[in-house]
Amino acid sequence: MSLNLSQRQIRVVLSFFLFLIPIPSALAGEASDTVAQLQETILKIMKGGKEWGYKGRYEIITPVVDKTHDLPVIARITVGRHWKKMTPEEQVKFANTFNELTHSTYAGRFNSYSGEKFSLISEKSVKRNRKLVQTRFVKADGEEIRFNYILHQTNDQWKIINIIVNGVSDLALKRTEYSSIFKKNGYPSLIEKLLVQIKENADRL
Amino acid sequence: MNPSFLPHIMKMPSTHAYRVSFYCLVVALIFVVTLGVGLTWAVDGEDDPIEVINRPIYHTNDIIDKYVGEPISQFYVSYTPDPIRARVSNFFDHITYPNVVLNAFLQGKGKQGLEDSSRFLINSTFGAFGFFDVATPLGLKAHNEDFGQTMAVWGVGQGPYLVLPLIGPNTIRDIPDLGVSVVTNILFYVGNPVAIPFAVLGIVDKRSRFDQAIRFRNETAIEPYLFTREAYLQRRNFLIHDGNPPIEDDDLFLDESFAGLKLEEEPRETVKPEEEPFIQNQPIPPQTRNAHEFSEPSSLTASVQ
Repeated sequence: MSLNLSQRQIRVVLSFFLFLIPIPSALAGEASDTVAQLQETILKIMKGGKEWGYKGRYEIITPVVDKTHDLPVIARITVGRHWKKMTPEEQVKFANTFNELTHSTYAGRFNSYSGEKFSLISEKSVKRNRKLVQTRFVKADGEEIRFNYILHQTNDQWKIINIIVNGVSDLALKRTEYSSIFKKNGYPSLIEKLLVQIKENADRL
Repeated sequence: MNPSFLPHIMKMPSTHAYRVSFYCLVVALIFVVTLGVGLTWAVDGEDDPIEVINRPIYHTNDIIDKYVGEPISQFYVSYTPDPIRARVSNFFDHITYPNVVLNAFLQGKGKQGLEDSSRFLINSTFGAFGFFDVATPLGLKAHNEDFGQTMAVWGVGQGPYLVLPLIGPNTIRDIPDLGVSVVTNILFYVGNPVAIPFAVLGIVDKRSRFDQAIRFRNETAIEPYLFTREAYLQRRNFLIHDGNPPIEDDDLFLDESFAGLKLEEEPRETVKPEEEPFIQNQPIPPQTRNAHEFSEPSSLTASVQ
């Protein structure tokens, strides 16, 4: 049996479905959208888990991380004033290695799902035209971890430049570690250590 | 009233009260010294001036943890069912909670102090000595306070970072809390033969709760000593500000000159010649000078002081 619907009837039916499309809460701004996009993908790869494997998760998260983070800026902040001591080739190699490390950290770490959720707390403007997006990561047993993001505006969208987990700033830790290794052991040693970390991430199922 | 009860109490001052007052005296003494060091250090504070002493202690602790702490913790976790471990953790949170109550009041958080007192009373009674946390569902959430945080609220500087043998990361400002947390622990008022096994279990419980954090560090840190130090100092700052530390310029990491830089991998043609020597030649405006000096890791936690 075939249904004969007029164009008008189709329009009426379609407009009814429009109500079902969730409208983002008024609280959320563009910066929160960036964070939400990242967090949705994190949950997606967590659910993909071992079935997708490291490679499968890596392929899904990589374009989203590139879109939501300002990786070139993050990479240079992690080495601080040592950036200027690198040759242009070294800078490119460092930035590429750092990008890969970031992708591999997401793909390696978020490898299983057991009922975790992200929820938005607030979005605020902070100094120097940056935004602070506060979120919480709630585990199945109710334990909460605060994930705060600092974003800045680039040409096309708000992008993450720092993640603060329960008060501990990822960028500050990396900056301290990387600067110190650069100073003590030099550029090759830093790259070598990052490559070891990438390999360790990739070894996770 | 049980007549034999009174003489027991009368006897106590000779032994127990003496011990308590001795501890209090020691705590007070440490407090005064710390206050002095902390206040002086607040002026010229470098975070880790005794790194040469801290590092070997850190590495020794790490080895001891690897061969003693970690195996014991693993044994405990694998042979104790989750619900029992949760009860044990509840119990130890509970008997150390008077420290939270005391420090809430010392920081002038009257309302929170009253709530924390209620929490303690409710869990002591309806929660069966704290084995069950019945207060949280009633809206009396657990807080995190200690005497180190109180001193920070009072304006005492952080002082040098210290790694203590067996205990681990600390700062001068957090030292007095080691004493305060002992005298506010219920176990301190229980006779020795009972207290000792409980204290040992308390240490095992504490170590097992650090499991995840330690594993995380081992997996992600490329310089574990610095990673631990920075994470500890930032975590303390987070607790001092009850989860909302102020966003300082330093947390934002970059000023406009940083953001305006182009990466080398971008096509050269798109960069105008006058923009290229951006960082080297452009004079640093005074308001951004701090962000440049921030290249020094030591000023990372300057906001704490």
